[in-house]
Amino acid sequence: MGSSTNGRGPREVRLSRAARAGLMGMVAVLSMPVITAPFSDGEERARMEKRELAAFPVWRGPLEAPNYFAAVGDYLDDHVGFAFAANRLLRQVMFYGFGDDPVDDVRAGTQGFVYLNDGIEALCAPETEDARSDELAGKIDRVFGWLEARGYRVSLGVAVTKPGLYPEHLPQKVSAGTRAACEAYAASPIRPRLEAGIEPSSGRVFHYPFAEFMQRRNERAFFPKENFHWNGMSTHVFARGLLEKMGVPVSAEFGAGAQRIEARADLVMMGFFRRIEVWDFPYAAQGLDYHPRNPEVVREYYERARGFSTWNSTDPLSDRSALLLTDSFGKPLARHLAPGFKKLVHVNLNHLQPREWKGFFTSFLDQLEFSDVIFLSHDSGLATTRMFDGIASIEVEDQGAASNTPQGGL
Amino acid sequence: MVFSSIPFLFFLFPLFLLLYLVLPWKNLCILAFSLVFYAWGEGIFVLLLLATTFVNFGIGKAIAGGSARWALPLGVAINLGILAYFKYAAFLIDEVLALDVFGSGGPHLPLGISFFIFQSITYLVDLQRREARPARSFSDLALYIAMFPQLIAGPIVRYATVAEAIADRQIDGKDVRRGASYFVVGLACKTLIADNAAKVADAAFAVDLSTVDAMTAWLGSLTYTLQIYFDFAGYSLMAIGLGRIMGFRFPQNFDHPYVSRSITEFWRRWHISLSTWFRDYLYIPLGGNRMGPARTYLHLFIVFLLCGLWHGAAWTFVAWGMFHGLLLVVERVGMGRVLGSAPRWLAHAYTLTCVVVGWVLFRSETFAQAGMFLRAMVGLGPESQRHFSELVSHESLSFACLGVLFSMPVGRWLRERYGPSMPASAIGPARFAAICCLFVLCSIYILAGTYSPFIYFRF
Repeated sequence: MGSSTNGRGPREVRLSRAARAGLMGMVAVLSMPVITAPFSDGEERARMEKRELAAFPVWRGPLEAPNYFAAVGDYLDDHVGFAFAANRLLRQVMFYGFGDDPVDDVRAGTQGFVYLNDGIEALCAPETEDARSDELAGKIDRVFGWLEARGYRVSLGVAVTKPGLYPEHLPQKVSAGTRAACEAYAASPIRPRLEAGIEPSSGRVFHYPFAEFMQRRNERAFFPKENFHWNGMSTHVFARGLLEKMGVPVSAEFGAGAQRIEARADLVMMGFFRRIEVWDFPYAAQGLDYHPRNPEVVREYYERARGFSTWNSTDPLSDRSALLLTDSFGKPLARHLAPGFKKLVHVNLNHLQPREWKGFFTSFLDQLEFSDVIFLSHDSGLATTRMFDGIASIEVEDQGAASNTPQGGL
Repeated sequence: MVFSSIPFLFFLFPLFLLLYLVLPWKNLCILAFSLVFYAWGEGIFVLLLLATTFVNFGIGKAIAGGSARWALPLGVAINLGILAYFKYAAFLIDEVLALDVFGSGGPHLPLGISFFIFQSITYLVDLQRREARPARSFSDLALYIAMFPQLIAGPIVRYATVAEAIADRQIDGKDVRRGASYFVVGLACKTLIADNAAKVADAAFAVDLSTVDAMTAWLGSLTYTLQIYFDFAGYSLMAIGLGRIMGFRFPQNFDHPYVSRSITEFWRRWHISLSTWFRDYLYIPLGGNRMGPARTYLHLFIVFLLCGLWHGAAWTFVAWGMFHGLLLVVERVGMGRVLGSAPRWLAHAYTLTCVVVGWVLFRSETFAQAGMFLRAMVGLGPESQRHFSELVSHESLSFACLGVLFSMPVGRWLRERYGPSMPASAIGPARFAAICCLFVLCSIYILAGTYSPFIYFRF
């Protein structure tokens, strides 16, 4: 077939052998991520990113083509091969190599410390939280009263978090004002205002051992610097103090046999795993028995419940039973409180919906017999916690019903 | 869809290459893929692209016939009308005429419309000037206008540049190797340097205006200077590389503009296809420099005002264009001679300063923002309120330094300095290894960019 350059002859596009080989090589290399997509671990990725991966979209006609193609793009992004490994490698290079934040929401501090950005701002906001503290104290007071009226002993624990405990390791990237506020936090943590809402004489327990944590913070593996949540010795110390305040007899042997072990850090959102050193407490003397996702009846009142479990103890420190209602700081704490009770049920309330409040705090509580209800929130989450809103709203509703009831006889 | 995305890089592009390799209808393969490429992001507006091409094909026939004097004016008017409607209607009616018809809405702006309209005009004018032969078929013209490498962001290519290749071309191993190298280097410019510079620039330009201090202003303007160059030049290089792989030779679009020693020189090195377009299709038809100094300056000013407007329908783009027009006039009047005899570093500093100031105008969303940045840059802003690391990560800083280095013709210097002494057998493998490493690094960034963890808003 002849060729022509004057546009009048037949058309020809000729590829040399080397060009063909080059193109084939490019096809082979470029298509590898898509070809290996079926072998990539989507479940692990979904677990790491804490979301469902995009599904392949349904074609809805030419007018919806841009949306369709965008959804195909999302599907490819989520399922392409090597993404997991590439992400892990890049975030490790960013963190260990460049010393930068591996993801936007995590702040890489000095000497390996990491912080959640939201946690820093929430705890160390330069402006005062007087109004919120007063409102929260009032709410807590009503919640305590409501539960006590139903025969429960109530305790409130506040977990210590790193921005207030280790402010000196906050990075320069955190504004100077916020860093200064975090450093000043130790001098005036939120405790006084909260305690104002809790009457010690009534037997109510309030436990926020910030001072004790400050004294012990530099002990090896006290509070894992690689974690967002506490673990190990910090949770054990907290639990011991809380149990003692609750009147549970805690002997000197409580926690015997503890040893340091290697575990995985909890900030998986960084895109890679870090190994941490943490104290492991066996509580062998109390014979703990752990049942995750138990009791199943939780799901009847709390549709999106994920973090709930039951701990049974064969030789507890008391014959009381407790319901532990918490945010995400409850899971590391639960096993350290469990030895104090013959049964401890832990429920993470983070996903409890307002429409579920009444059912959960009345019917669910009534179904299972507890002597104690323990609330736990971390200090940087207190300002925005809705943990007490459920009961507070029921309590207001009850008061409203009571005030509408006709007074006296006919 | 962008070249640095997963759907293109790892799905559609290898699929296209495979089909291009296997199927005998290579031009049809490119055209079909180009339409899919455009429809991927723009959906139904692919019909606008086809309709525009159809109209230009018909008008091109009329021009080539020689008898229809109305054909070229009509063709240019139709093309500019389409561009004016989709890109400038809201701006002209709401901003210029202050009629507030569209509010925050307005017609959808089809991606790449500025480029394919300008290419269409190029085709018609070149036909009229007998600098190009008419397309043999609608598919040939459609291929020229819609070819996916340069459809979205140029370079603006003359029909004559590709006409012969459309009809008849030989693709050698060297074309594939060279094309792949250009593509990977362009990908690296975009993914590694431009995107990292963008993080800093975006952060700086997002701060509250009342807190724009000198550090923030300089960081924002300098990183944006890097971002826009490496983004645009990178994309052009990718387009040139893709074209080369398919057997087309697109012209160079950027020639290290930041080494320029005058704004005049800058515009010979920056977005070369656009500046030559304006020179050949607006400046010269207006009269160029043939009507005396005063008219020359006016022509320059008009050209650059329109050049600014071409970049975007906003007053800040117009101001940017006018700023460069003014500088060109000033250099014509006499400043150019001064720069020519000034020390190189001084001319260089002058040029970079003017370019950076221009980019502040270009990047700012409002004149107020531009004003705050420029004031802060000369020390009239508030006291420093933030630490350097609040805006710049070590990663961004590292790539910014590489950006500064590679904004200079380092490759050329290295070749001239060490090329002759290197054994010929080592150059090829060394280049191949470097390109492979660069591609792997870019792929890591692109693949890792899909990481999207859901952060609980409550803990």
